[in-house]
Amino acid sequence: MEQYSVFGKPLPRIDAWEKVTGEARYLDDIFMPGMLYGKVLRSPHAHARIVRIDTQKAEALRGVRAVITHRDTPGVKFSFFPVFADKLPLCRDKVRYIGDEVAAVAAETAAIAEQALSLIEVEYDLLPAVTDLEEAMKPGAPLVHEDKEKNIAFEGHKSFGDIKKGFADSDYIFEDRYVTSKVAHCCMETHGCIASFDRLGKLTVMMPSQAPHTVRQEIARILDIPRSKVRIVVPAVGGGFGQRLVTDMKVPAAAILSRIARRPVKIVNTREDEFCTARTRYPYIVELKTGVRKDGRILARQARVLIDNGAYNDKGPATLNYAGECFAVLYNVPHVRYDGYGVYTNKQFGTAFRGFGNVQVTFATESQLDEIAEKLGMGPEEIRLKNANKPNELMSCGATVTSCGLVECIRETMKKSGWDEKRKMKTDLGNGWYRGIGMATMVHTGAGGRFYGYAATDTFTKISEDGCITVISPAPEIGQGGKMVVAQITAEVLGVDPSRITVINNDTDIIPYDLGAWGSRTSFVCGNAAKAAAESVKEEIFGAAAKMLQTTPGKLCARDEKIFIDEDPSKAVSFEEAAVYAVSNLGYPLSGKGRYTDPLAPQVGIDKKYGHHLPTFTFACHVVEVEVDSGTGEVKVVKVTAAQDTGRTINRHMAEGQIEGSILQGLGYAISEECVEDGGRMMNPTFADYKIQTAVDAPPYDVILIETDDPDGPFGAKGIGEPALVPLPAAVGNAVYHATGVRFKKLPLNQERVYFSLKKEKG
Amino acid sequence: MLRSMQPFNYLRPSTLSEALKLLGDHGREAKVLAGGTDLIVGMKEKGLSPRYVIDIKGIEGLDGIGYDPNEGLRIGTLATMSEVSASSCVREHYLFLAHAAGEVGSVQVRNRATIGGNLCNAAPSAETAPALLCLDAVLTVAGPKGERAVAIEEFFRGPGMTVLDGEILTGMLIPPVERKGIYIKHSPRNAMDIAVIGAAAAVTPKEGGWENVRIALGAVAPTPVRVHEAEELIRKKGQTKEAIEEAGRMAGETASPIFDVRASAEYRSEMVENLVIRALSELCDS
Ligand SMILES: Cc1cc2nc3c(=O)[nH]c(=O)nc-3n(C[C@H](O)[C@H](O)[C@H](O)COP(=O)(O)OP(=O)(O)OC[C@H]3O[C@@H](n4cnc5c(N)ncnc54)[C@H](O)[C@@H]3O)c2cc1C
Repeated sequence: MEQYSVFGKPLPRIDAWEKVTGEARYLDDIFMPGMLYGKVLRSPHAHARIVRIDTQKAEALRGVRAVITHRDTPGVKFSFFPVFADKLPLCRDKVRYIGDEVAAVAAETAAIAEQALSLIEVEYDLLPAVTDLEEAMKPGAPLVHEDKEKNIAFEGHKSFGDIKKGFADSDYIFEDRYVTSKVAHCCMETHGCIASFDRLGKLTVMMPSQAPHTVRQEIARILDIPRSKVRIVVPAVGGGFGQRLVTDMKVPAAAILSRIARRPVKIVNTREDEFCTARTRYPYIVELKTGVRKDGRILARQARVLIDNGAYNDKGPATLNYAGECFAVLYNVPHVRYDGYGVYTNKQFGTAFRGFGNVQVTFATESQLDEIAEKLGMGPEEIRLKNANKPNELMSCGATVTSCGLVECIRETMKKSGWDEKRKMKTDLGNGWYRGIGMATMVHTGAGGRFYGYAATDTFTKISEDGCITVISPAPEIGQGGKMVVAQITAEVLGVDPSRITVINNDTDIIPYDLGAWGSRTSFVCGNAAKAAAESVKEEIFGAAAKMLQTTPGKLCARDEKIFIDEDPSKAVSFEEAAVYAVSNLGYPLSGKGRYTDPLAPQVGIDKKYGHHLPTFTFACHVVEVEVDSGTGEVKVVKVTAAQDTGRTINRHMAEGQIEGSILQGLGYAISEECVEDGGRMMNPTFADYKIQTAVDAPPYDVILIETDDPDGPFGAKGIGEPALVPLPAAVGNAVYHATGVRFKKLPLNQERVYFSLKKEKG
Repeated sequence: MLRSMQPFNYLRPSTLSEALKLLGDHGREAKVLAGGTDLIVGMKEKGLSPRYVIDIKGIEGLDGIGYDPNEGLRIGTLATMSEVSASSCVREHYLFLAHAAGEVGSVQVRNRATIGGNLCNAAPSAETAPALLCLDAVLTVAGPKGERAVAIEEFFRGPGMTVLDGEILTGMLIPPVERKGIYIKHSPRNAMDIAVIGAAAAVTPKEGGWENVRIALGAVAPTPVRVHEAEELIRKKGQTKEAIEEAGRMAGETASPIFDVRASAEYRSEMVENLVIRALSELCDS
């Protein structure tokens, strides 16, 4: 008999029916009695002083119920990290990017609200804007935040080993500079919320969110009200990718409008709002210096990282720090130094995005590694295998790797893709076409992080009198399968079909406190708590079943909807019978509670100088095959082979879905997507001009799941939502180099850039 | 920016004369509606706000595709891109036109978008225009004073502008001349994309050479255009490698491409050259 009957199986998701039938209700489907429509007036200037705001005409418009400006807010500055607070919900003296929130209105219809916006008079005094990261660092550059001495918003430094010694001991030193682009998450559902204050002063916000408890704290902070007065309810969510972690100023605006109008207020982004203001991936400049020994061993790695922060801080400090964590652990490099700077510019600001800083830095490290290998006469696979981490290795940053499938990932992608033969094939296909194959690896967290000094959560599970199971878990469902992860783990423990399970996960008044869906932490953290809760309720139902079977609970086993005596499976009761028996014959219902705690977390908060913020690491290797048309600059990705260390796969379909989706999103980042900005204005805020990859662009994938059985994950599992995007851009760049001999150090490898680069370098 | 649409009157005449009357009555305040994939987007995003929208889909006889050996290929204005790309008549005689229609948008868009709407919308990048230019299509236009025929080369006047004057396009006729052709759409991805460049070429293969050499381009000038000089050159010099390259260069020079967020003018003109060479070379090899 297989070890597991539910865990690991490619079962259909419990929330699939409601999604494919249209039953799932997204924010846009929700109407509340008396609901008003809100709109936000945004700055048309990249940088200007606000001289005067006159809302009288807007207020006088028939159908307008509330108009607010900074005067109606408590004036508390906000940022994800309170120490970096720099953003008012509505601007007071200055606007700092095109899209900055200046005023908001609520009206009976969206059309009236729109008209009201046009009646608000704002007089601006234009200021010189700084929109280039390096310009912003120069002395004398216009200050984005006039109360700061310079445009450097934050710094982050890490140093392990002795970098000087590392370079001194190296036979070769490589120095390169890489530039990554600004890209948008492009969630299918745009941002929005419905805020409603009740008469007792309690605020309920319905909004798609990845981190409802975080948003609750943030809104309480911005509105200067107790957290207990804020409740977040999350409807079905149309994608997150990191964009729904930090509060967007629409939410406090809707809340204040609701308080004044005494009616619920809905504000939803148009797609253009979304592109221009919903926040993006941070563009990085990475100056990378690497020292290696002749035999390919990397001895020293140093990076100077500049982040184009945009106008406000948001997740900038966190991505900077996180990218540094991964930089220090992808390979076991004895001497590491990492210096990062976040720089203010008068542009739309960034936020978390799948890959979280790591993808930018990995583009640099994994591109350069191919160059190093070539110089040393080694294969790309050879140098990676030489430096790859292995299980139980102690790294220079102080962390010990637990489960680690990096070597297997490299070997399996090579085997499956036919790497050895294809690397040797002729690359010139004639008629200006070239073919190539390249690889890149990555490390990422497989379990969130200990950054906030807290990495725990609880879960409650009950079995009803009819044998149906309800799990109250904080695992967010943002399309990635959070609910099914919880259901599948619970079902494995209790030996039932997941269809018996309902997961309640969307209301901060109900669910346990949790940090949300980021850093691939849901499966690990919420999965562990769900497992513990299921084990606890299992004790209760085994108690009932033992009475029915006249045995002791320790002799029982649960599988295939039955509870039976392990030594004699013919002695069995159904799961449902046992639940009914508990209520009817024993006189009590069944419930359990589970907890996941990470005892290290309180000791290693972000301010502590410590390298071990990630509870476990996950690894991947991608091999990308391309054909390059030098006549047009087209990079055609013909095949992607991706191996991912999953710990233990919870659900093969969902794992493959996450990886395939990441690959397509990563491909867009690598070859076609880019927020084109001019003077701080986004020039392509539509899906016609912002080129995400579509279904017909998707190359054939080969996804390989490497099972390494993590010692701390639920049934050995670790998270895989983010990582599969990380190696993609570097793998594409390496494949294009193999095909053409031209190295791209700037993203994206779009047609025009590739065409002119090939023309210049190859004639 | 996406706006709520302004209110308008929706009219659905059942005859052509009724439609023309309505168009005459409301003049500039009226817009013809076919598939709506340009018009509705324009009303939502580009500030178009006609007071009268005249839906012509209720009028009989404006759709359909048929081939007659004497008359040629007739395509009704309401034939959808899906119908054009799947039509056996089109595929048998002018496969590259079917191919061009099949390049529009996505399955959903092609099921809705009409070939007539594509021409009347008169985008420089209109997908079917280069192929129809290569095929010497003759457009049939109905107006208050009756019907007239307009050569496709005369039809476009500028971005979004045509010779139509209170008139309705009813269909088009492609003369029954044997052709082989090719259409290359160059864009950053494989679906839901506007052509950065569209290049079409067609010829009538004859013993020892080509006749009826046609080269036409989309998205490189205010309207879809034919490149007569390059056609002339191939006609004179034959289909040699040198002539083809020179024709490509010539096309690149005559094009006056725009630059926008999709591509620079420099890239576009180099693509014209490369794609014209590619199209002609492929015709040589096929
Ligand atoms: C998502 C999307 C993707 C697209 N992709 C492409 C693409 O790849 N390539 C491409 O070329 N186009 C593309 N388009 C544009 C559009 O689909 C085509 O131009 C289509 O052929 C227009 O046809 P329609 O029937 O929808 O026209 P409509 O929108 O109904 O009409 C377009 C214009 O022509 C006028 N008109 C229509 N029919 C007549 C007539 N018989 N007589 C007089 N005037 C008339 C209308 O008044 C209007 O001004 C895309 C559009 C969308 C929304």
